[in-house]
Amino acid sequence: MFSRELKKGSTELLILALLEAQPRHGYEIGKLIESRSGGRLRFRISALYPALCRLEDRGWVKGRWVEKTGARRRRYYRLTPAGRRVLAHQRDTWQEFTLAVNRVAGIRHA
Amino acid sequence: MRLNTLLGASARLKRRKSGRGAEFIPSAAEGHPPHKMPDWVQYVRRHLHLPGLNAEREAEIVEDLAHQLDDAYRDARARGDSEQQATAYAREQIPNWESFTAEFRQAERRHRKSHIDKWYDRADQTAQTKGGPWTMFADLRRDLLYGIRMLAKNPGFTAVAVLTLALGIGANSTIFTWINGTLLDPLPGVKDSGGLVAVTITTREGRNISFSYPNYEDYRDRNTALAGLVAHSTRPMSLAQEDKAERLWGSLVSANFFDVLGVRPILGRSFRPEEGEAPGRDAVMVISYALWQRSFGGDPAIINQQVTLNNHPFTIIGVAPQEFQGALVGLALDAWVPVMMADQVLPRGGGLESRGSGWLQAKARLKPGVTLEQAQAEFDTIAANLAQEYPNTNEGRGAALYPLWRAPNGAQSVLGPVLFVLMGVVGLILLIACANVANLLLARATARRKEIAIRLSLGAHRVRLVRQLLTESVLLSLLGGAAGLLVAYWGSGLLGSLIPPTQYPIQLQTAVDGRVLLFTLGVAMLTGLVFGLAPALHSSRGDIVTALKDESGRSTGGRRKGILRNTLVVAQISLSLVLLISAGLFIRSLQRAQTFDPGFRTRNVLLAGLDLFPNSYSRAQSHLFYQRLVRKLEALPGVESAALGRYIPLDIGGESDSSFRVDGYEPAPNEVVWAYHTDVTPNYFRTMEIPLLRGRDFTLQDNVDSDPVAIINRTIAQRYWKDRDALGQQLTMGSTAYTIVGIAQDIKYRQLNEDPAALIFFPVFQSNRLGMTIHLQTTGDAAALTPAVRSAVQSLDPNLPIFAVRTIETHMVVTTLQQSIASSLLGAFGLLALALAAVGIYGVVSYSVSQRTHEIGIRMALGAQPRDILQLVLGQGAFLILVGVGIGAAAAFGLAQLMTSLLFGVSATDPVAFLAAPALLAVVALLACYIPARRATRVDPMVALRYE
Repeated sequence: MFSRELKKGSTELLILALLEAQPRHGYEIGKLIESRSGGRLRFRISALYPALCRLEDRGWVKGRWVEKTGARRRRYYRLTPAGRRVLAHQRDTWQEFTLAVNRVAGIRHA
Repeated sequence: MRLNTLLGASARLKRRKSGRGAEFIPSAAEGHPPHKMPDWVQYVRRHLHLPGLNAEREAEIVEDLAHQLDDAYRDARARGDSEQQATAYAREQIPNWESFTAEFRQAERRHRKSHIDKWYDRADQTAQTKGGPWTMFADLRRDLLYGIRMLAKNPGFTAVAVLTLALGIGANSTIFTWINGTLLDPLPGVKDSGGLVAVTITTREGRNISFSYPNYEDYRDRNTALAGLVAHSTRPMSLAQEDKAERLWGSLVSANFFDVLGVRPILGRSFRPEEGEAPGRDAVMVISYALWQRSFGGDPAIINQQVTLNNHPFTIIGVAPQEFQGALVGLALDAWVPVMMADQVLPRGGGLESRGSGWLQAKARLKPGVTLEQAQAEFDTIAANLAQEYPNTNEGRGAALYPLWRAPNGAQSVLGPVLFVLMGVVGLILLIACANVANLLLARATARRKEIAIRLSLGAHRVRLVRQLLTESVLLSLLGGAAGLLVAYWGSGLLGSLIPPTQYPIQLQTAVDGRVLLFTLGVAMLTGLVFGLAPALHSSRGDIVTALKDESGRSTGGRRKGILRNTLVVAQISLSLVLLISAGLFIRSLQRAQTFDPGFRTRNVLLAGLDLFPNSYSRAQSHLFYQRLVRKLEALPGVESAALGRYIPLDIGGESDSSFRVDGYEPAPNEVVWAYHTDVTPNYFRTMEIPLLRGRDFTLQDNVDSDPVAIINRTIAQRYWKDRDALGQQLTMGSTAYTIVGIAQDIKYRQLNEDPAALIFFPVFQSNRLGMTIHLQTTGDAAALTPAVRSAVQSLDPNLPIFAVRTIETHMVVTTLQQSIASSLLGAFGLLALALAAVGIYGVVSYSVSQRTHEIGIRMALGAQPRDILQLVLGQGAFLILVGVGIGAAAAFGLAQLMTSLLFGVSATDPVAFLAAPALLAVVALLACYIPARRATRVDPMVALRYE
């Protein structure tokens, strides 16, 4: 629906935002993006997972194996305090960015 | 997957353990009906290649990714897709593996393989492909690399362990540099100086005295056991060039001196045999490198140049190598002249002819294959023959050979005993450090139980495992040793700085050399084995099943391990108590020595040396000079009283003794009637505050024109006149009879802890002495008078330097040198040991608290008060402390007996030291327990119970 370039710029923000409320595992993040955007945003694992690993590498999210009785273990990712700060900052930036784009492109505020 | 790397193997093991062929493929786990589905793990592994990544992280990614693909597959199935459709859907999630992998490489900076990992892989391959001896090397390399990796992984543990070891090993290396410099290789620049032998003449009472020249010649020529016997006599000398004179220390030496010592001049030559033959003929000298640089600007044209030494023209024939400083341990000399020049160089002639007067020290080198005992036996025979030939001088005299480190003269005789005690002390410190590191390793071994169990279950031999663990501990101790060398490098010069300035050119060569390096390496290796062996054996006795069952990796550590840890702590406490008690004994000794009254004034006295000999004073001129000088000094403001004395009591070296006769006293057979003697001016007793018990002080009228007089000390009066009155009686020394005009109180003359020695004072104006020490009693700061004294001397003789100017307080430091070195070093080491032991007990108690969190939680849930918990934990610590203190006190009690000779004024069982040290230790150790105990009381029962 949207072009790859367009999505790429927002991947990190989307992941961070979805981890804000609670830790989630990898596939869950993709599904949530899809459902919450009403199917308009779809990410493949090939796009989400490297981004997730990059965020972990930077120390913004932290992955942890969680074992539940009777089920296989899954890797859950949670937001670190640093990630929380980054999220707040990225939200602001995104807002300013869309605002600026809107102004330039002549889109009236809803 | 590389099965042979440990972490890869551990991942594999987990799968095998689960009992399901492929764990990552869920079966009935989440309620789906069992069906055949793609093996996503295999799928990911086939497509994803991340060679730059470490194995652990790689396994993680594969697992996570496989899960996600599986999720996608199930998702599709749940929507009603067929298996094929679902598989295709999942595969569609990663359409392009190449770009996906590229993105990954960017994301995973942190998990890239380290260099160590890459080497490790290579060693792994070598071991597999080559075999034979290569396997062994590759194994070693693998062990090393693995060890480095484990150490790098736990930087906190590594830092603490290395620091602890650095202190322990560094202390040992430091003391070893001192022992090396003063005992093992005490004469720098001399070939195999540790193999030299010191030879002395012995008296009937077993005292070691010097050789006379005729005796030296006889022993030299009659023995067959020695490769060479050299004689040397060390004196202050005056070197004059043009108009300036320099005071320096030099030696009169036998012509074979440089050859036997194996020293080759870097410039010119050493002495020829014929230069040791004719008295007064060969006025040649070899100078030190230092003097060559200092006074001659390193001029190579110095050879054959004429200088004036003690008023006699000498030709410089050679320059000694830079490191060579003479044949006396710890003294740096500047000039060597043939002993045949004694009459020209020594103030009153050397007495080359006299067999009775000893003034030469002797060193020897044994012939190869000859033992010290054989040489001693031969010398005994020579001595017996000489006693028959020259009964007047040699009756009752023997000769004794000592290894240089036990020689009665030189710095090593003062420092040796202290250094041996210190070597024992630092050995104890190293043991304490070892115990600390062993405890750290044990704690870590518990954390590594799982890893070790996995390796055992994979078929690793226990021997192989122990070797791996030992490689790690030796690696640690080598790191500690390297850091310890830095400590030694810094500490090696410390010994020199503990010695106060004296009139002697003391220079201890204590540098880090090859021998020190080797010693440190050896100690480090041994240390690594000592502290590593017990933990290694313990850990490798892994109980695989329990370790693997215990998923959290937590464990109580086992009862046996607990006992080992407690034993180590008890050992630490007892060892550090031994050190603290020893330190206490020496500190008490020093206190006693410093406040001990030697019988003369020890404050506000200025001492300054002068030597009239180089300026060619006659006896009459010198007497006139002394009289004028004392008058001038007395007139100086701030001077209470002034006098001259030939010797200073309690000086190192520098005293005369002679035998004498007393009319009416019949000596027992074999008894020698002898006394120390010195020459003093009137007012000496007042200046030094030595009480005159009877009779009178010397006056200016006691001069060459009046009858010879003497003042004796109380010991002589009591010993030889008993209940008769010595005053007015006579004693005969040499051919002169002296009338006793006074009896002085006893003073400590040679050593603080001596029994009162016989001492005779003669008036300066009846004797012929050209070297004197000024003694000034001052009202205020004695040192402040130095410039006034210098100008007073120079107003009488502008060319006369004063030297060795110091206050009596400084002088007294020298007399308590052994005690002050021992107490300052032992004190420092005692505190170091205390700190290490405190860390040790803290570690053990806090570890046990962390292991017992669960238990403590239960206790608190059942109603235990914080006070009870505190008691519980402290009780455990207190028990260890008590046992340690008990053992330590007993050990110290035994060891202290060995130090009796070094103690002064305190018994080896001094109650203060034996009570204060354990008290200090107990307080510090309890404090170290209190911190973890407090933490235990703050355990929240709810958290502790959930903590599983």
